[in-house]
Amino acid sequence: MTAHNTKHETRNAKRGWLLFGLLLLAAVSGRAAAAAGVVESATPRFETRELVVDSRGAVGLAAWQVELKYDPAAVAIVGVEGGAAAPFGPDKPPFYDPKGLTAGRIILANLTTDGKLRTGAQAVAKLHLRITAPGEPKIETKVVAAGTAAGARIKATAEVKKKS
Amino acid sequence: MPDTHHHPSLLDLELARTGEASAEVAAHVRECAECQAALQQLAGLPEKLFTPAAPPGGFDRGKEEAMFAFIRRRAADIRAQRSRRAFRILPAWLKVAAGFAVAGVIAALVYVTRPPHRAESASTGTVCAALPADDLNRDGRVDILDALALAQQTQGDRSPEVCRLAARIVSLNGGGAG
Repeated sequence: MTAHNTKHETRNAKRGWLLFGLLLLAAVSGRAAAAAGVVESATPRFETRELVVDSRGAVGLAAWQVELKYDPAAVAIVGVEGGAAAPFGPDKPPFYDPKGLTAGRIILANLTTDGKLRTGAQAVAKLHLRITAPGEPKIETKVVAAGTAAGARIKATAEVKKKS
Repeated sequence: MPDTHHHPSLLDLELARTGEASAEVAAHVRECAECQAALQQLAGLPEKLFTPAAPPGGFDRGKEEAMFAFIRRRAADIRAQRSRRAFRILPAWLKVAAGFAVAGVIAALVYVTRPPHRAESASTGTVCAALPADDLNRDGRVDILDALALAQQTQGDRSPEVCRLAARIVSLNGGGAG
């Protein structure tokens, strides 16, 4: 009877050590996997950028259309607002296709019939970005159209930049 | 006086018939009634040889045609049965696959030949592409300047018409990307 109990205890002790080993292995591998995950994907950060259109002259800007291209794996647009001041201020967000928020390409455009137009460089839209890649996201701009209140086409430039 | 006891051979008679026999044989044939009769038989022989034999008694051309028509119908039935049997012995999965293939082809044809979607759906937010008719300022391009022209006509840069046109212009479905 005593010998039988001793044998039983020995077997239980072996099982306990085996279970402990397995738990230890799982914990170590879990930490390693978590560490690897941190290395592979950076923590996303949310930032804003301004879309600035420069009409490069004394003529007021009444309408603009800009195409943006970006890497959807590195950045996503999570929101679009109006610019800093009238006539393309916060109360007049630009037109855009929601599909462009994550497609890597988006077309923004806006127009105004207000009498007071601004000349030179002006922030016409505000972009809310979700950035998942380290460093500054690269967003290409292309002015598709820009015009005066009379509907005349003018040359303009555009860029996406941090608010100064 | 011809020698009636020595009749010419069949070959000589044939030569006599064609006018190629010797004078002696020709003279014999002219005088001998027996050889004349044999010559007449020889003359009718080629015609008999090349004349088709008359059909046996009781032969009916209509029945022959009916028999061939029956054979042709029976052969057609057998061919149809073979093709049906060939489909029946196909495995079930192959029949199902063939059915799906046919359905797929039909669906593809329906999809390809469907009319282009031009309507604007407010419920889904789907915006259709800008149309050539949207070129309101007639400059050959559809862009925000056309929406500006419309806004100036309607006295409002946020009127529903302007908003719809601007949405078409910025649409990624072929909008005014320049």
